[in-house]
Amino acid sequence: MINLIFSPQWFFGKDILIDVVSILVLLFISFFAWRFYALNKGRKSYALLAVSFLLLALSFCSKVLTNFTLYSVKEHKVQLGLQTFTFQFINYSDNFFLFGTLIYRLLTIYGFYLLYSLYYKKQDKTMIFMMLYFIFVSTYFTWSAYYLFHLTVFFLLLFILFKLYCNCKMTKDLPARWLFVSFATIALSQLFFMFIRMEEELYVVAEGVQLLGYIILLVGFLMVLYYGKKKVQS
Amino acid sequence: MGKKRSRVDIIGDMLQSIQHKKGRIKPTHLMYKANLSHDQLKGYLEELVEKEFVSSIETPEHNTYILITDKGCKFLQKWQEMKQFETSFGF
Repeated sequence: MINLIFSPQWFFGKDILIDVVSILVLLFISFFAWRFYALNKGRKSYALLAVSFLLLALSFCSKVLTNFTLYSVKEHKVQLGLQTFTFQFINYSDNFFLFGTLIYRLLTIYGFYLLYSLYYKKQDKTMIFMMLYFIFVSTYFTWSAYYLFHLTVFFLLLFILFKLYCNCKMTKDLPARWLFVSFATIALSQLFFMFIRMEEELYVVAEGVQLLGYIILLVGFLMVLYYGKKKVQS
Repeated sequence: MGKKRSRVDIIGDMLQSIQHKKGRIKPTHLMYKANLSHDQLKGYLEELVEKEFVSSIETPEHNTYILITDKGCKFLQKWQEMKQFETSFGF
C-alpha cells in the first residue's frame, strides 16, 4: 500500500496554511508578469513566466484540496463502563488522494520546466513536446518512488539557479540576489522533502524551508517593483 | 551587438529622456537622447500625442518643447517596473 501521509499528526492543517501562502505569492507574481506581457506583447518571456507561476500556484491548489480532504479529522466517543473515551482518526479516500497528488506533481514539474525553458531557449519545439510527454510518464512512476519527483524538481531548480547566479554576477542587482536566494531556498526544501520517509519531522522542516523560500521570493519581487518606481522618481 | 529595441522600449526611452530633463525637452534633444532618426521621431511623437503621453508647447521665442503628461508618467513607471523585472529575472 502507498503511504499517503508524510506529515506528523500535530502538523496537520498547518502545512495547508503554508501552501496557501505559496499560492498567494505565486499568483501575485503571475499577475504582474501577465500585466507586463499586456504592456509589451512582443516579449513572450513574460507570458511564459506568468503561465509557469500560475501552473505552480495551481499545483499547490491541488495539494491543498487533497490535503484538506485528507485531514478531515473525525472525532469519536466510546463508552466503556462508566468512562467515556474520546479519540480522533483521519478519514481519507485513497483514490482522491492519488489523483490529487498526481495533478500536484505534474503541474509542479510542468511549472518548473516552463521556467527552465525560459532560461534555456535553444530547444527544438518538437523536443519540448517530447519533454512534456516524458514528464507526464515519469510523474506517473513517482508513485513507487516519491523522492524522484523532488529530485526532478531539485535538478530543474539547479539549472534555473545557475542562470540566476550568472545574472546576479553580471548585473549586481539587489532584487536579483534576493530572487537567487529564494530559488536556492526552494531547491533546499526539495532536498528535505526527499528524506521525509526517514523522519516524520523532516516534513515540517521541508515545509518551513519552502515557506521561507516563497517569502523571500515575495520580498525579492516587491523589491523589483520598488526599484522600478525608484528609478522613475530619481 | 545589443538587442533590437521593441516599440514599447523606444516609447519608454523617449519618456525617460523627457523625465530626465525635468519633464520638458526640445524635439532635437529628444531625437539624440532616444537614438532616433528624424522620421522615426516624428512618427513616435504623433503616437505619443495621440495616446496623451506627451503634449507640446511653443514659447514666445518660437521654441517648441515636448512635455510629459501624467498619463505618460504612469506609463513610464510601469515600463520601469517591467525593465527592472527583466533585469532581476535575467531574461
